[in-house]
Amino acid sequence: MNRRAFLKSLGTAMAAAPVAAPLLARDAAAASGEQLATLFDLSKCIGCGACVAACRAAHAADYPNPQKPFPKMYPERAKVEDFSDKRDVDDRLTPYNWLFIQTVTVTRNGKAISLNIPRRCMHCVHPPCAELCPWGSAVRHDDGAVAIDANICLGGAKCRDVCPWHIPQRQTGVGLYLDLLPAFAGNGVMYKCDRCHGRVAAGGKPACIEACPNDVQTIGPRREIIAAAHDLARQTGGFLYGETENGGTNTLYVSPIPFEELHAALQPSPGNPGLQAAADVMGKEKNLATAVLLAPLAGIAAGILRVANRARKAAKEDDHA
Amino acid sequence: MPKPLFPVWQKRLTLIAALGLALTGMGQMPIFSRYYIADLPGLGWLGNYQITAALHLALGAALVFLLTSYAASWLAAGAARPTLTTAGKWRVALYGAVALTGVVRVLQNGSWAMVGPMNVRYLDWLHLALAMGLLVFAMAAGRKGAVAARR
Ligand code: SF4
Ligand code: SF4
Ligand code: SF4
Repeated sequence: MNRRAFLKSLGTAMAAAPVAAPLLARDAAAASGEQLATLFDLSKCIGCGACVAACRAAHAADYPNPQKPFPKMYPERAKVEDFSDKRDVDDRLTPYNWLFIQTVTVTRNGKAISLNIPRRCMHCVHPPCAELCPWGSAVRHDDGAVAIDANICLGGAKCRDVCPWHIPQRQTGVGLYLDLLPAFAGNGVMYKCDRCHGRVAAGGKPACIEACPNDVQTIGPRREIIAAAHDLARQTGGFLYGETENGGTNTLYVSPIPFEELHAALQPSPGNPGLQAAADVMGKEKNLATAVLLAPLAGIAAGILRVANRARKAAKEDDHA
Repeated sequence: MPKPLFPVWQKRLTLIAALGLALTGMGQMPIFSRYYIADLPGLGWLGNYQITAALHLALGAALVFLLTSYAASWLAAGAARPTLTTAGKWRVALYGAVALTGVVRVLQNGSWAMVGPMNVRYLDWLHLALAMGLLVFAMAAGRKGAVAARR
């Protein structure tokens, strides 16, 4: 087989990729109903902060306790991120605050309306933080909870860079990087809501759900929660966020106010995520991922064709001899 | 004289794909931005995870295609099958293992996860260690032929 024919078979395999992509690469897990999702009925939240306090109590033992002074990092660009003296901050996400309440006021029909929005990790179905973590420390558990293992996280913050909401927060001066090359690689540990994976695995509920006096949040199988969210939105004339954002998440918000308006009223900043129409980060890669999975088929075909062609040519040359 | 079973252009493509994979693979770790490499003119893309991850997958598909076509030709060649040298056997083992761990990682992100969430780390570390092993091998014995000269 010549070079052109060889490359053509590669081209054919690549062209088949988009067709096969939905079959091969995604979403059986989410459809299987094993994953749990949560639903926030924002019309019920009074912003009392009981959930925030419960989260802090439930996870106090998980918070970082860095030793100071921090080892000097090189080059200059590697900056310390330190919240250890600001543990009480509760108006944004920090390594010590995995949930906070955004309060937004918008004008509707000439009237000012305020809404309280509990914010934490969305627990995406295809979480870029976990799927792109080069170290295996950010993972998605089978129940859909996305968690970062503080024991091995090196604090490179790639998870925060690739997260559409930049959720994980870094604390310098703790974690495995201290035992490796603290001056030259790593910068602490990343922290975020793990949807109380330990409590849920033990048959319990996330602490924030249990503490809420108004039953703002419910948890259940993804399919049921999505159906409940649609029902609620229909009954109340409300709007939905989280079902399709970033290709689908396991956190659904139903709001009486459109999310574009809420997003416009929010002023996103570090630790203070927006409510934008987030594109599917991992979805952009699914055709390429499928090409990787189809490549062996194309390669085997090309390899066999080459040998067959050589044999045919050799037989022809024998005839001419 | 019959043409060699593995033509030079295919070997060159393999080398190009492998070097590209090494570069984009390094780019999966947050080092190019930290060390100002992504600040160099024309290298900004090295600090963009979306771009390096997409390139890593595209080059990965090309490498897997090339490797499996070598393997299929080698198996199908029958009596004409060239003999692997020791360096050749190492190369087959290292390339094969790097590619296999990479493909398993791709499946992990799709719907055929084979590794439990808390074991993905061992898959990632193995992939990284094998890639480093291949780099060391390439520097030490990269110029040695993979197949023995035919007698
Ligand atoms: S919201 Fe961000 S941190 Fe949470 S699972 Fe999605 S990508 Fe990861
Ligand atoms: S699910 Fe658990 S970790 Fe997440 S915000 Fe609620 S209490 Fe905090
Ligand atoms: S406890 Fe319930 S009502 Fe209070 S802030 Fe949290 S979600 Fe809102």
